[in-house]
Amino acid sequence: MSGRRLGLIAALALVVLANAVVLTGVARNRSGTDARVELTERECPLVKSLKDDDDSGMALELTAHWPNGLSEDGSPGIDRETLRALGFDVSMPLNSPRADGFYRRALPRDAFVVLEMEGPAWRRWLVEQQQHADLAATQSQALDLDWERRMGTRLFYVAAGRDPEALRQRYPDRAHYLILPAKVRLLFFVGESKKPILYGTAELLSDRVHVPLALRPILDQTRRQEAVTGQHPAPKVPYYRLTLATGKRHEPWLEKVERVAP
Amino acid sequence: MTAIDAGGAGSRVEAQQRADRIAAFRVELAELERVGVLALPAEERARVAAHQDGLLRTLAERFDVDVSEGEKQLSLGMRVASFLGALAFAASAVLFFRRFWGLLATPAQVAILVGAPLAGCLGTHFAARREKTGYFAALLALVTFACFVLDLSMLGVIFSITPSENAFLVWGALAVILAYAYGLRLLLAAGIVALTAWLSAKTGTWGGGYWLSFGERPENFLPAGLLLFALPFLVPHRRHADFAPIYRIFGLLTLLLPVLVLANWGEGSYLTSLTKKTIESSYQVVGFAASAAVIAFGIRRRFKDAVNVGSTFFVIFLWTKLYDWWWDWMPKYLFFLIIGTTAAGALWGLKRLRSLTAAQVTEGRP
Repeated sequence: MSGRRLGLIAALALVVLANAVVLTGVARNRSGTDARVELTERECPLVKSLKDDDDSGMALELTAHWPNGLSEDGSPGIDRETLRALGFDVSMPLNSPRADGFYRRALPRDAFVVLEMEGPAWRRWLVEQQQHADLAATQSQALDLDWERRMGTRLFYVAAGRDPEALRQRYPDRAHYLILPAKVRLLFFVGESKKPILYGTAELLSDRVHVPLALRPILDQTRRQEAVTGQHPAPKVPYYRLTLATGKRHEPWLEKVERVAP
Repeated sequence: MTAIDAGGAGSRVEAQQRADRIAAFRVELAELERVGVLALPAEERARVAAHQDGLLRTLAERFDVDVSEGEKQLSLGMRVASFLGALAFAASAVLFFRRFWGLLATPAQVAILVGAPLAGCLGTHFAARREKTGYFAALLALVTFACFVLDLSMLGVIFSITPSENAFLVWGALAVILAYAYGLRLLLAAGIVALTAWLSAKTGTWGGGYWLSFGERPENFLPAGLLLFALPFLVPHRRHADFAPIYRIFGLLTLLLPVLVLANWGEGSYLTSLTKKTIESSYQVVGFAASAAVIAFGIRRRFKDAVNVGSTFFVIFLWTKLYDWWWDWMPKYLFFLIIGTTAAGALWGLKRLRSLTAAQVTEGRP
C-alpha cells in the first residue's frame, strides 16, 4: 500500500475516531440527569454578541452571583479552607511581605461549583442589598434594587469542591442545585482597612448554553422584537423560562423553553 | 520508474535539488569554456547534454520540477497563491457554517461538521493524485485541517462540552498525517503548532494548573521545544528532507521565545522560591548562552536556519538588556546610536564567522 493511501486511511480513521469519542461522551453525559432546574431569562439572558448576520447560532448565558460572607473576611468568594482543599497552597501568611507575589503567581485550578437557584443565598443577598439601599438612600440605589428584584439573577454560587459526588451529597436537591465544572483563581489584595484579603473566585467552563433549533421560536421572537423596537418585549418581567439539565459529566443542556405568561 | 531513472531523487525536494545542480553545472561549464579553462570535446558535451536533458525530462514528468529560472519564479507565485487561497477557503468554510448553523437541526449540524473534514481528506488525496506539484493538495489539506478544528470546537459549543487540551492532540495528529502523506510543509507547521499547544498544556497540568492557563508559565513550552528540536536528529527524514528545518526552526522558537519572555517577566516562572530579579537575570544569561550556542551549532552543522534564529535572538536579548540599562537615563539619540553600533558589531562578528567557515570549506575540512 502506498504512503499516500495509508495516510488517507489514517486521516479518515482519526477524524471518525475523534468524533466518535466526542459524541460518545455527549451520549454518556445525557444518559443520566444529575440536576434539572427551572430558570428564567433572569438567570439565562440571550448572549448579545451573537446577534449579528454572520452568526445564526443562539446561546444563553448562565449568570450567577457570589453571595457576601462566604469567605472568612466577608468577601464574596471561596474561603481559604476550601481553597486548600482544591489544591491551592495557602500556607503563606497574608501579612508576609512575600504574600502578594506568592498568591498572584498561583495558577488557576479546575473544580466543580454548586449554583443555588432562588434559595437562602439569594434571599439573604436581597436583604443585604435592601440594607445598603436604605443606608445610601439614593434614588439610583433604589432603582438598582428594584431591577434586581424583577430581573436580576437568583442563581448564586454556594460551594466549590473537587469531587462532584461529595458536593451532590451536601446539596441533594436536584431541582435547585446545579453542579458545574469551573476554573477557580485566587484573588489577593489589601483592603481599605490595610488588611490583606485572600479569596477564590470561579468562572464556569461552560457558561454558554446552545439553543437547538427546536427550542428557538420564543427566543427568536424576543430577538426580532428587540431588533425592531430596540427594546426588550417585556422589560419589567422575564419573557421566557427554561429547563436546564445537567448530566453525568455535569455538562448542561436546554430541555425546554416557554413563554412566561404576561 | 526506478529511483536511478530519476537521478536518485526520491522526493520532489530532492528532484528539484538535482535539477538546480544541473542548471548550475551548465552555467559554470559555459563560463569555464568562455574563459578557456575547459573545452569539452563536442561528442562528450553532446553526451552529457543528452543525459541531462533526459534526466530533466524524467524529473519534470515524475515530480513536475522547475527546470528554468522563469518556472521557479512562477512556482513561488503559485506557492503564495496556494497559501493565500487556502487561508481564504478555510475562513470561508468557517464563516459559511457560522452563518447557517443556527438554521439547522442538531443532527444536520453534526453530520456537516463530521462530514466536512472527511470530504476534505478525500479531496486532498484526489488532488495529490491529479496534480504532481501539490499546490491544490496543500490548499485542500489546509481547508481540511480548518474543517476539523471547526468540527471539534463547534461540537463543544453545541453540547456544552468541558474544554479539553486533547483537542490539540487530534488536530495536530491530523495535520501531521496529511503533511507526511502528501509532503506538505504548511500542514507540518500547523501540526507542530497544535502539538506544541497540547504538550505545553499537558506540562501545565502536571505543574498543578488548569490546562487553559498553560500560557501563564512560559516554562511549559520548553519540553515541547526540546522535543521538536531533537526530533529530526532522532528520526532521520530521508523522504522528507525539507521537514527537518521546519522542526528545527519551530523547536528553537519554542525554546528561545519563552526564555526571552521570562528574561523580562520573572513572575511567570515556576521558580517561586527565587526573587523576580534573580529569575530574570538567570534567564537573561540562559538566553545569551543558548542563542550563542545555537549560532555555533548552526555554523558547525551548516544549518542556515539555526544560525538565523540564533542570531536574531542574540540581538533581541542584547537590545532588551541595553534598553533595561540605558533607556531611562540616556539621551534617545545616543541609545539608538549604540543599538546601531551593536548591530554593526554583530554584522562584523558574523562576517568573521562566515570567512572562517569559507576558509574551512576551501581547505576541504567539514
